[in-house]
Amino acid sequence: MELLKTFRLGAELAELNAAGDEIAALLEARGAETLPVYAARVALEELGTNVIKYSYPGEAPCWLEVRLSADDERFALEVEDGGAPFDPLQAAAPDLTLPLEEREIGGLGVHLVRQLMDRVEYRREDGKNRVRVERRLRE
Amino acid sequence: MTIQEHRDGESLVLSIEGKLDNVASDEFRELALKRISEGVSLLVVDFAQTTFVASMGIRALFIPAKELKSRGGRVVLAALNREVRTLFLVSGVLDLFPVYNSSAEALRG
Repeated sequence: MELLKTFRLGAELAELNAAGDEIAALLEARGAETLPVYAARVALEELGTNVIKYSYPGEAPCWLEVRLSADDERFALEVEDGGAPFDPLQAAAPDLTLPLEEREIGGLGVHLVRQLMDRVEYRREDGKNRVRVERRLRE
Repeated sequence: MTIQEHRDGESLVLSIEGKLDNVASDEFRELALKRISEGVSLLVVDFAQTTFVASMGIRALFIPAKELKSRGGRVVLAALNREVRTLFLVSGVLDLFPVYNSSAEALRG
């Protein structure tokens, strides 16, 4: 895959949104359909929010790096941070069969990413958390 | 995101224009809870102009829905595009809320 763009972001949720707009435009330029572009936005938003909420519990300055790659068929997003070890894939899946008043809401974001992406991987390497998601550009 | 409100007695349509992302979700939830406390018993959430929903947006639907249910009212969804419908399908939202093609249809019940 060819690296299309690297984003280095701070701890602001608004920065995720701006990066999401740019990623959407880059994927559309590669011929991605609406649903895969949507899935990329969801993945960025959910994984980025997890980093901001869970990987930097202390005072350390928060950063995350997002790399967007693609070839003719697929795209990949890699989200990396230098915070505490945190594997979002270990979050328990939400119980979608429960009635509304008994629903727990934890784990929903990661569940959405798993459902919308073809592959989701977590690695702890070089003192960093790396989550990589991959999907087809077209159905 | 901007939210358009159309109130008709105890019915309220909240139309979400733009992104119901992790920033905008709090604003939506607080507005919905405020209107429920003012006596709204049917809350229609209209997604015709919504470009994006994240998991916090889904949570922001659950909380007013629980509140309205305890008061004998309900939250219904209207005008889902394909992407929002897919997200709601895989998150189980479609099992929990009635869905209508338009807010006008939702108000007719």
